Amino acid sequence: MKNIWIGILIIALHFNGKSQELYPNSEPASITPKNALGIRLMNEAYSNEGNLRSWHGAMFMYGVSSKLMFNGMITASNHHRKVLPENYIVSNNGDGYQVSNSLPPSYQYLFESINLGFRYRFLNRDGDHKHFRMAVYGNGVYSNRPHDEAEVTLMGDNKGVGGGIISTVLVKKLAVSLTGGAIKPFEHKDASGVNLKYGNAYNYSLSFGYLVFPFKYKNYEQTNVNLYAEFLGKTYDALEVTKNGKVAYSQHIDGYKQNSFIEFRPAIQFIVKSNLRIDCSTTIPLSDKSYIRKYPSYQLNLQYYFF
Amino acid sequence: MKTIKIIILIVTLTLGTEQLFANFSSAKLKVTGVTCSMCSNSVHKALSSLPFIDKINVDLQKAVYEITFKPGEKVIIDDIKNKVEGAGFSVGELTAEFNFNNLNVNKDFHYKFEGNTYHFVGVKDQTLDKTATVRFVDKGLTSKKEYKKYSGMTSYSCIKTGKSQNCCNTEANQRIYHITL
Repeated sequence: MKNIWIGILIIALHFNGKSQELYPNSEPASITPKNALGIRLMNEAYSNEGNLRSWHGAMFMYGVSSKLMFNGMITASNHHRKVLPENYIVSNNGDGYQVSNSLPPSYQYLFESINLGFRYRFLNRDGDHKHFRMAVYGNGVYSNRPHDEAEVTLMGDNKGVGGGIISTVLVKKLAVSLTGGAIKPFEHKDASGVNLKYGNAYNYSLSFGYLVFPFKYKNYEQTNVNLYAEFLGKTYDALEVTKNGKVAYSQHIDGYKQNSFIEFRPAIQFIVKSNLRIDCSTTIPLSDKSYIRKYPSYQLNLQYYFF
Repeated sequence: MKTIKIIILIVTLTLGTEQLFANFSSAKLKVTGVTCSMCSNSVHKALSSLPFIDKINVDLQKAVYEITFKPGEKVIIDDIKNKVEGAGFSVGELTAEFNFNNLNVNKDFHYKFEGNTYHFVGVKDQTLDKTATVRFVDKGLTSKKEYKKYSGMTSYSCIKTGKSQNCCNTEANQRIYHITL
């Protein structure tokens, strides 16, 4: 599957070779046009032992100036419980506590989080069909779900803050975007009396994009077809679980350990009437894996700008 | 007969007013940094919101916008630049058609029109008897390379700021557009 996608990209590059930077799974250093309101509906789904797990987000983006944009997002999913169950912590053979590894999964759909952020483009070098841009971004998220895994996100799982830097280079045949960021999650104090203390996480991504259709731009009515190859990585610390101030042993569960992974996300994108953006992508693990989703996972995003 | 006279008077007045406001009739704008039709569309929508723009024809492949101005409306060139930059891109080149109506110009001639001053850079002595195409060479209205080239053709410091300096025989801090033919 991976080889097919790489093959398609090489062919696309060879025959057409126009770059595109409207990445489905990362943000470019470019921002929302001034006074335009963008709405993006984001969805992710995968199968967990035959049951559907899905995540949904609605993102609002507004261009305040030619350099600054604000964004807000609300998310919902069936990934979490409201509260950790009674038997989440069990006795470790009389030697303190440990986290139970035999809890039945929950598939209840719940509201997850509110995310507020900004992106500031501080460097812009425009040329004829090319540009180099750099931006900084930051977000703060409120979420109150017991995310019982070490990998932290600012997409609904955790409350916390994050920020980073994005560089996007776009020349005729190549559009590359590089992102490096950090996430500082806040501790979750569960109503069950259990505290989840997460470590910091570092995220990075490398994205490539190509226009495959149309061969020649004629008017705004033409549907554009773009292909993307994105590599997303994350490094995070182990999760510390405490109950009544005592640490519960949790390192017998892979999802609670520190980890580093890289995923490959090939995507196809349709742009209808130069405004409606439809992104379809899948996620394949390349180096180690993420424990907060099952593979393959599928993403579908819809985006529209109101001018 | 009286009615006809009134109609003639109204028509004359209307035409007369148009004559008074006749300035830029059209422009050709090249936008840099644009690589997708969605980006071009953002620029198009931003430009369309300007009250003095009538029609826009775009060559998407070249990112060139052919703009027709509304007759009688005052054209503000900086507003075009601000709209392009607001959409996230830059002006690569901007030329406009202007009816000069027998104007004698020479190097560093300052032409005042509708509250703005147009400074001719790198031009020979000549009479502009009808419509001529002028090219803007200010920072932000052309490429950096072209700006550098033309700023070397004048000793006037107003080209550095786009605002009137000691060099210009006009009030301080007024907008001075720099144009060439």
